[in-house]
Amino acid sequence: MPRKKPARRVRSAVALPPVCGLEQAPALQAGLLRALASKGSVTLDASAVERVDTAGVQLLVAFWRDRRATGRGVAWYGAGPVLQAAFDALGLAETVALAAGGDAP
Amino acid sequence: MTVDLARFHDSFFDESFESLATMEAALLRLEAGATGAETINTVFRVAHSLKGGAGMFGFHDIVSFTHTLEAVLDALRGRRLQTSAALTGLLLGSVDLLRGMLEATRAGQPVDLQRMADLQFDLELLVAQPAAPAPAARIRLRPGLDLHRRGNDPLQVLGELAKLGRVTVRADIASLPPLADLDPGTCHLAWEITADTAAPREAIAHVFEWMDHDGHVEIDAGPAAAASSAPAVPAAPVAVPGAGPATAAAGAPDAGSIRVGVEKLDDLMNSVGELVITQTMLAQVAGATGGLDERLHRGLLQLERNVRELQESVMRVRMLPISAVFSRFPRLVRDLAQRFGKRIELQLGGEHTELDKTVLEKIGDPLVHLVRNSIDHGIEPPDVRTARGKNPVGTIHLDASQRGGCIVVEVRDDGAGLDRRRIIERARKLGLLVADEEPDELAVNELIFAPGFSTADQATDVSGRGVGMDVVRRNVKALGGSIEVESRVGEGARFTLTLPFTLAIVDGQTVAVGGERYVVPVTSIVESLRLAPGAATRVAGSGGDVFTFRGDYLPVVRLHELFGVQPAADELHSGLIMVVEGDGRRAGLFVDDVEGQLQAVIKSIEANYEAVDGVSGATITADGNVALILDVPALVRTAGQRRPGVRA
Repeated sequence: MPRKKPARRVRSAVALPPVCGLEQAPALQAGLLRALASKGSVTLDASAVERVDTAGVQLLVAFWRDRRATGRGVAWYGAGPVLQAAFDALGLAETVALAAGGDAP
Repeated sequence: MTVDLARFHDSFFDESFESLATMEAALLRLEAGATGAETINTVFRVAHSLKGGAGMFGFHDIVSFTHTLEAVLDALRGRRLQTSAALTGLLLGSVDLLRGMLEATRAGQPVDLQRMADLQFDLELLVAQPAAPAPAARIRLRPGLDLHRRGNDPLQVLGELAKLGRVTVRADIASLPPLADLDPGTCHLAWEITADTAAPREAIAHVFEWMDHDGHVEIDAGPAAAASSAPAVPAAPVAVPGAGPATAAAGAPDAGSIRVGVEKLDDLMNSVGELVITQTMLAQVAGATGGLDERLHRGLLQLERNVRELQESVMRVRMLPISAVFSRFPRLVRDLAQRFGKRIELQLGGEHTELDKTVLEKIGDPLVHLVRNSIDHGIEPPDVRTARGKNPVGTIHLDASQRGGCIVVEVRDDGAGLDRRRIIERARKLGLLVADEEPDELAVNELIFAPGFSTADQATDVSGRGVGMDVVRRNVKALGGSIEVESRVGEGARFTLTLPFTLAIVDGQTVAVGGERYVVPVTSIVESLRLAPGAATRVAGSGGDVFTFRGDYLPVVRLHELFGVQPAADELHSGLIMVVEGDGRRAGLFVDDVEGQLQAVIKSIEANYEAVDGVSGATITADGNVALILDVPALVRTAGQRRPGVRA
């Protein structure tokens, strides 16, 4: 559920692969690292995600935390039940603002 | 009537900083698995008294924040809230915030309201959560590092657990390194799980069975067991076994103590110094008079004993246990270890060793530098340690002990040791070594103390900023101490600091120059000798003399010229040369004669007159005269600038 937000700055998006697991981790990590320094808000496009494991969740949490630490925004796009359930089960939904179903300020 | 509260501000701030240190120590114990009610009570008391004090002085922000903190701690005390890594993390953050707020308030600066509001929000959230009934089972899950790589996934396990009943999961991401440093094959997360289930403990254990070999699982089944279980393995990233009760004892205000300003102690010390002089004068007069009344003679002897005891007592009052400095390290190590993704245990020893406040104030920074270096360069990352067959948890020892008239502080780690090859490489680059020179081990260790020396591949804000060990050594030397390093490749490094007990008193040797007396600190004296006529050579152009001493040419410092005194004799062979060493360099002081030794109570010449080159302070001698204490490193430096010591 994309949320509308005034486009103050340039947004960039990271498209998450269908499987966010240990095997895909190096590529995912590289993609996230490129987006990490992006000045504008970054959207994590999760619409294609079908499977995720703790290794994938861990990368997304680190990305989210590092972005927030520098005061930069992150938003979810199309985060479906699979992703939601994984973050819930690992007690990390709040950490990445998935609990309320929206993005972080 | 208005009362000027501002004059009480200082003691409020001093006491508050101390209380926060106590609180921090208690929180670290809590994090390391302490479950005693007393620990939580200690934390609560600190927050409560801080709130009271801040309220009295109208520091409303501090009152507001401590009020929230109190609510959380009260819930914790009433067991409506469970201890978790996330909670102690928040509470430690609160200590930092309060410290910052106090510092800002003291300096008249605005406090960081944003940070306060954020933290306050998080704390309020904790308390606002509905009081859950006592959990059926509490599980602490800290997977082994290689978990993902071995094909294990906590997500699946937690899914299994959820089938047993209602599960609440709290994740701890404190050990999660920055994205750039993250190894996806490693599980950096930990969990604290409460499972509301009727299932027996065995059923829960079964779910985690495979993980027991691959990490750390702790299951407290039922509310009764919750408080009594003790972890078999320390689960926290930094466990501080040595810092337990001892730190608390040192940090907690003792019921039988009062707070006294240092200047009052200094006054007392001065008065006692004067008393010693008066007593010495009386003894001299008595000696000169002779045929003294027996009772008067006995009285004088007793006075001497009493005065000496009094002096020692006053010195003892100024002594503080080194735990005052050590207590900041558990937190420092915990935070830095997390930041570097390392697992480190800090062991403190000899915290009760006492030393004078003057020294204590100045050794904190060098020690912090050494410990940071150990964490940054010494201890290897857990995977590297495992690969080298070492315990993935590194250990740093911080030990203090008393040896003779000195305090010895050791910083020891079981890390990689000094990297000889890189040190030599770096030294060549800096031009400290010529290309084909192969220095022995001692010489290599000595290289790290060279100015500007650092082998860090990239400068971090923790260590490796180029200012490094040379600054540490200089600071230690300025205290009259020394620093040595020993290292074994792959086994670790040991830095040994030897420090004097006090900076208020120096063991000195009195030397005579004309009618004046000067005091040379005994620690800087190498040897005294008389030069044969013609043994010194006048250096052309510079007007100075040099002489050979154990294969080196040393410059002569003529004290009478430096201080404008008429000497007994001008010829070098008619007086004495006292060879002294400072900052690793030597020089010969030319004096008329060497007299007795004394324990000189140092008085600041800067505070009473003005700074004088070559003089570090003054003291009053037994005959009531003032003698200047020589600043040997400065004298050697000035002499060296004119005539650098040349190898003979």
